[in-house]
Amino acid sequence: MSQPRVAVLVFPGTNSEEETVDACRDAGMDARPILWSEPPADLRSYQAYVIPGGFAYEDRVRAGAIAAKSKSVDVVREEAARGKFVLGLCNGAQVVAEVGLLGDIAIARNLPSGHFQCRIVDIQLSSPPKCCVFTAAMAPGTVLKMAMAHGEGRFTGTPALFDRLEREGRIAFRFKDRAPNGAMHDAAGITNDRGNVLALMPHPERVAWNFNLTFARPPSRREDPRSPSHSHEIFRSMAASLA
Amino acid sequence: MIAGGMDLVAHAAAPLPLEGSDDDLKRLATSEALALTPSELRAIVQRLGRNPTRAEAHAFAIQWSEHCSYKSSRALLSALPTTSDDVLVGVGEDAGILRAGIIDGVEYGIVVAHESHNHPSQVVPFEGAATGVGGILRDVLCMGAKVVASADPLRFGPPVTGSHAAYVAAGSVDGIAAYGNAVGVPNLAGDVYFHPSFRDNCLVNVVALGIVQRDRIIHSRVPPGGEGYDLVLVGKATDASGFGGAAFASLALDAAQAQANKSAVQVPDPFLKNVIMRASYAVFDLIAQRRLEVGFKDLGAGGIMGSSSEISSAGGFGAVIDVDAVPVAVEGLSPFVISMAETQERMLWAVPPSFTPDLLAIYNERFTLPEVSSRASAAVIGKVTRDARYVVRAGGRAVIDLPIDVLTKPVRATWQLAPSPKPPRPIGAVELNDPKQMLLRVLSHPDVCSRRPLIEHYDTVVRGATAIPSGYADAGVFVVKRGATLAVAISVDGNPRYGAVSAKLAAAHAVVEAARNVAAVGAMPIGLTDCLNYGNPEDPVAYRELADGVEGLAEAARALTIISASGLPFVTGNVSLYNHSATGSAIAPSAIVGCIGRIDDVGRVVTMQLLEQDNILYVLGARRPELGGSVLADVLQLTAAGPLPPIDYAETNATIKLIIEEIRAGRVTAAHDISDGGLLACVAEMCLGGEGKGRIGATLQSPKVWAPDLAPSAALFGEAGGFVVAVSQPSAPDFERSAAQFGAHALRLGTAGSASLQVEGLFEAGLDECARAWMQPLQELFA
Repeated sequence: MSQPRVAVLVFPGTNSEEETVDACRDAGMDARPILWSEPPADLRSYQAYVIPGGFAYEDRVRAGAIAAKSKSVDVVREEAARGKFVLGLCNGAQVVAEVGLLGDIAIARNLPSGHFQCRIVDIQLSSPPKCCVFTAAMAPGTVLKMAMAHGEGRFTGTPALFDRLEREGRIAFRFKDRAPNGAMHDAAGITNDRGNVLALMPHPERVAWNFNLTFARPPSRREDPRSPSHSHEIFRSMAASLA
Repeated sequence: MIAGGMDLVAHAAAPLPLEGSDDDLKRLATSEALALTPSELRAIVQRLGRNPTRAEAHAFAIQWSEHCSYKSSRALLSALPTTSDDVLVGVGEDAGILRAGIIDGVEYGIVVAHESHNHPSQVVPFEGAATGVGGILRDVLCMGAKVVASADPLRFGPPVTGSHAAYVAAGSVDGIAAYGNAVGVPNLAGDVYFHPSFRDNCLVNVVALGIVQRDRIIHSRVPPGGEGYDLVLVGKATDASGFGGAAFASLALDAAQAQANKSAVQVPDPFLKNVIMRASYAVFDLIAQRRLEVGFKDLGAGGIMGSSSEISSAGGFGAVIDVDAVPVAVEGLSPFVISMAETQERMLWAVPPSFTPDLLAIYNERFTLPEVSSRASAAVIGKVTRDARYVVRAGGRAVIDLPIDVLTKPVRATWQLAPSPKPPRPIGAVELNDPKQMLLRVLSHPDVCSRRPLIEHYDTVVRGATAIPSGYADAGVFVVKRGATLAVAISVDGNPRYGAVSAKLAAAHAVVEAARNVAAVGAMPIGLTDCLNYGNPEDPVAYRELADGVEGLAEAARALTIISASGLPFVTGNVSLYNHSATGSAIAPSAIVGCIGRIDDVGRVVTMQLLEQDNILYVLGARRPELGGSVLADVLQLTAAGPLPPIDYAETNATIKLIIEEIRAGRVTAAHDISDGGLLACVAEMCLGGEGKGRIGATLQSPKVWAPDLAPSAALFGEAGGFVVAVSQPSAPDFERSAAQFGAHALRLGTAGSASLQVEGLFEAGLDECARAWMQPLQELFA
């Protein structure tokens, strides 16, 4: 059986495409980086899209704003409406929010720090796994180490909206301790109502192998440092849902 | 005023009569903004046999600046060891390369570059520090490498709230973060010290590392057979920014000048750099595919002139540059400004003309440089020539036309050497009235407390190759390639409190500590880099400090015979002089050293954090009575300053070999180097861990047991080098046997466990109190 084809979108300013492609490949997906200068229409032949981290278009205006107006993201939005999978990681999550794939949810500057924060955080699966294609193969309540590395990662919206997100199980991931970026409901990852789009602020792909985590998670020491880590589960779920 | 294009050309091409008395020449130098002395001006005429054109005079001013020529330090630097079996490319190119190892039959090298951006960072901290990062990344990139890590040694004035020093510190860190984070290069090591001598002259050093396949290394020179090669300028459109930057870096700062000098600071553009890096990686692939011989060089000091003359002359060629072909950001720039401005984010390729169309297409079309930044592009600006002349043409005529060697041949400056300084007054016996209170004061000292508030600004995990980010261990670690276990460790060191006591011993300590730091994660030290930050070499005392510093580096590097009998090689380095304030006080002598280590199995690395209850703690390396340069002496504000702890190289080598072997064997579960704050601060940090959340304490035996001849002050807070390691109970006999075999000084210190840090017979401190003292001090500064 052929592997699912995944496009990893690269904009000027993207900086995480390599590890994102590798994380997808290690989960059995045929992932490729697609540059902004390539014809947007070519994207339609892919089954899923990952928008990786970085500072697309220098985060001009605000994070994700310019990339969200690009022709390639137009294609991604249309394909998402047809049910294809879209995973936005960090800057990619900002693009996903900016383009309206999550509804009226915004991602704003971290509070109270007001600046870029890089730390290893515990992220918990906080809605039923089946609510989202990127969590479908996980055990309920799974806690994963991820790397938070952003200055604008605070999910925000009206209280009523967040209450609805809670009811609908759309807050897929939550910071296990209080959100260091001040996100409402400690949200770290939010999915759309169909569960085929996930905007995730912390990076699973930067700690996707055991060697990335030996310093933070002593049990990883007993495992092959080259093998995918528990944080890689998101990509395995994605691959399973695509199969 | 000059108006009109032709007038600019005529102005640049006009001969400058370098005649008359010293005073005449000084006046001329001032009015023409040439950073050259009267004797240097006369030397130009002597070398050329004629008066130079105005553009030529500026070219000499840049090439003969301290920054480019190393004229004050070159002779001294020859004392440093620079070769070993692990050196693939040594000193002399944009960056050095060390052997990493072989993965799946392919040999990889670790590219190392080290720079300073001290003066610009003092004037405009954010831009100055950011450009420092940008410049060093290009040095690594130009070797054909993927840029994979950076490290930032920083030195600031005391961080008093609201002070200029605090502004410089916060701005520099923001600048480093803004640049490094955007390009996606993780910051994996660094240190920061606060010392009054840096109040008017901060130090912002940057180390960058790259990974390159050995058979794909690109050199900073036109290759053999390169006659007729195209010279292709890549990057940002040239503007007037940074004109005279190299000369600026070689001047002392005074407050009035600082404002005027702002125009000599370049403007960073990490966004464009990000794209240039990725485009260059695509070019590297194509070059390897087609097996082309090319040259690639960063544009730094002296801009197009500096880079094009050096890349050509290093290959034994000449060059002709056409200024009118250079993409410019604004019209009306003088040809000599275009050829010598230090606009950031530019690099120069020397490629066969048959490859030029593909090269231009990658940058301009596939990676759309002109859309990414206004007027950015790749453009052919000149040719490599067989005759060894360096020619810059503008408006149809030559504004520079010189034998290339005259321009690139090194010059030398000789300065007076003051006699060796008298040793400082020795510190007498120090009583510890309240050892617990002293521990808390030491932990909250700005040079000891947690760096997390600063590190948090840096992306330490981008690329997904990080094994140990900054702040968790004595060195940062990353894998050479995902899917393989081969890894690299990096640490930087250099203690200014030591420098203030002894320039020579401080430099030696910097080497030894950097090596210990990479060993503390389990890595074998394989190479060094240095940045020599000193005062004005024309001052005999400052020149003596520089000379002593180099001697200290050389002595220590040769003595560290851990991997090779010839010691550890320096593969790259940088010299930054004229670091002093307008009032003339030089900075504390600061030899800042980086050490690169190699680890075969990344799965074995350890951090400083205690992980297992009941582990046995050992101290490696004898404790000593000297308290000179210690944090304790600073906390107590002792007026006597000396002496520093001496270095026992045999002991250092033995303990480093032991710790590497024991980490590899899995017997050591945590390790930490003893440095600022001494043994007690070291153990406290092992309890707290990188995030200050550690919950495993330690109980140490009375110092009478493990340092019977010493006063408790020296035993607990003395900074003689060494390690504290944690060993699991069942492994203890093997560990002790191994220590005896290596001839390493290893004594049982106590055990891990309990929820506090205690020293039997002296005190007990809660981990919460320790964490508060250690975590908070820098939070406000870097908020």
